[in-house]
Amino acid sequence: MEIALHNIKANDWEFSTVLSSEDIIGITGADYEEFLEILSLEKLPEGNININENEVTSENYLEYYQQISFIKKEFTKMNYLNTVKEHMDYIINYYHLQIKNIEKKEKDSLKIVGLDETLLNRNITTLSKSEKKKVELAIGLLSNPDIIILDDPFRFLDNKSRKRMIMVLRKLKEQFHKLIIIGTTDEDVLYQYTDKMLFLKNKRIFLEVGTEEGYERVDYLKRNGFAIPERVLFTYKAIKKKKVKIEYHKDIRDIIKDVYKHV
Amino acid sequence: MKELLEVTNLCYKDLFENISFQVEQGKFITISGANNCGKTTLIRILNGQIATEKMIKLLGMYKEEYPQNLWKEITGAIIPQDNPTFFFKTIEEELNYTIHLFKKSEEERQETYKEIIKKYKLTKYQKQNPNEVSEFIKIKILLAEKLLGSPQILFLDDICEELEKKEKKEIINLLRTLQLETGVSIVMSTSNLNIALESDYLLIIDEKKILLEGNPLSIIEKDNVLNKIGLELPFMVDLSVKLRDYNLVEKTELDIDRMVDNIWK
Repeated sequence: MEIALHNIKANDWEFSTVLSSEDIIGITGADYEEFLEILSLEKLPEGNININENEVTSENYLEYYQQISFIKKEFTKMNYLNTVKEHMDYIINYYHLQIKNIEKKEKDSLKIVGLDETLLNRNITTLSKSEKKKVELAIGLLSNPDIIILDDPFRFLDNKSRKRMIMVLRKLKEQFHKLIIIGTTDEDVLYQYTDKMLFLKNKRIFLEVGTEEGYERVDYLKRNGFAIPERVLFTYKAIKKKKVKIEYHKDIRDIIKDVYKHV
Repeated sequence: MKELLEVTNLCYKDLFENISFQVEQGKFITISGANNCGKTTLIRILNGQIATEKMIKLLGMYKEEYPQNLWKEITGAIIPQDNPTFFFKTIEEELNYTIHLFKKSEEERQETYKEIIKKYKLTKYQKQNPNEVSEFIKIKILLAEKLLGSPQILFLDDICEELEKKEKKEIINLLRTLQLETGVSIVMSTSNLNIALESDYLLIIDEKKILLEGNPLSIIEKDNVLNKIGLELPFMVDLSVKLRDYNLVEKTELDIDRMVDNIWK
């Protein structure tokens, strides 16, 4: 799965980039939500867009738009719809999805995100914040999208749920070659869970870089107003202030081992 | 210190089983736990949205013995999930309306308004619609309004969760200031142990009961227990605990620079 965007212009934004399902993409910086909206193709922006080398045009873009699931920051309950099932049925009808056993599909997609199938008949208003967040992804998966854009997917989730969520997303990427795009201001989430980063500034792509390599450019990012994960800062200060030869690690246990070797 | 709030053998559906805790006057308590442990429900019980019988006492009197208006006067609650809406079109009008309910003279009202704008850093937003500003500004307006009624205690449901790190810090500092200046007690639920670390006392709920309670740092250092129930330790606490296991440092250090100095002297 690959989306190539060239000379895109929309609401003061200007950028070119190629995003592929080789990497889980992280997006951060001021107004990142606007950037995600452009990627969601809800409106066709000015510029050239190719999805898997097929050009997206004003005639065919609605077709592509349906292949993209944009999982918003907060679940919006629809008027007149109450239960999880009603919301799922609505999406299935809206997109004319061809599904043989609808109830099974709905239960399966709840299971994928780690929810019990009994949730299907619960009223949305009785769900906890974390449950709503997971239901939203479950609904987003019904249409079997090729591109999944998630706005702050880990908010409201505890550590266990986060790990499960990233496992699901990795699986979607690796087994089904889905393009996963995560937007958030949480630098810890980005550092730990993404492979490639787009740092945004002044409505442009400021830096497009491998996640680890990017965050190791501590001074550069800081100078430009981006937050650095604490685990990176710790290693950075050890190297800079104490001239210790330790390396950057995502997992705290690896950091500890490295420290142990160098004291 | 006087007990302000006493929760005794609280039971509710299949969510809580004999939960008991006390809040002393002027203290800032945080309540944490994994997803679906009942944090929001507990706040709803405390603020009176969910009725209970003879389990919750405030100032020595059971909740249900208070006339409903009085309970609302001496407590204040913020539950962001319920999407609180404001009646007025500008923050200025919104605040002034609430001020006029509590302050008699015109002079006093103007003075109070100025104080609030300054303390809550709302100068830039006065003419904006309170329903259209960011979550951060909304929380500040809600806090300012609740505090005008001089409540004894605030019940806050994870008001920092949707905020960015800088904003979280500002809200915590604001709560600390309010606590000192007005003596208000605070009970706040949070899924973020970084925030719990800033409070006076921490309760961890798991499997319908209080699993751990006490000084926040001493609770948060229990990495095995917390990881097991699905909570993430703040990075610096996690690092300290693990370095201590290897005898590389002696105590928990939350400051990165000092930590680096402690390891490589």
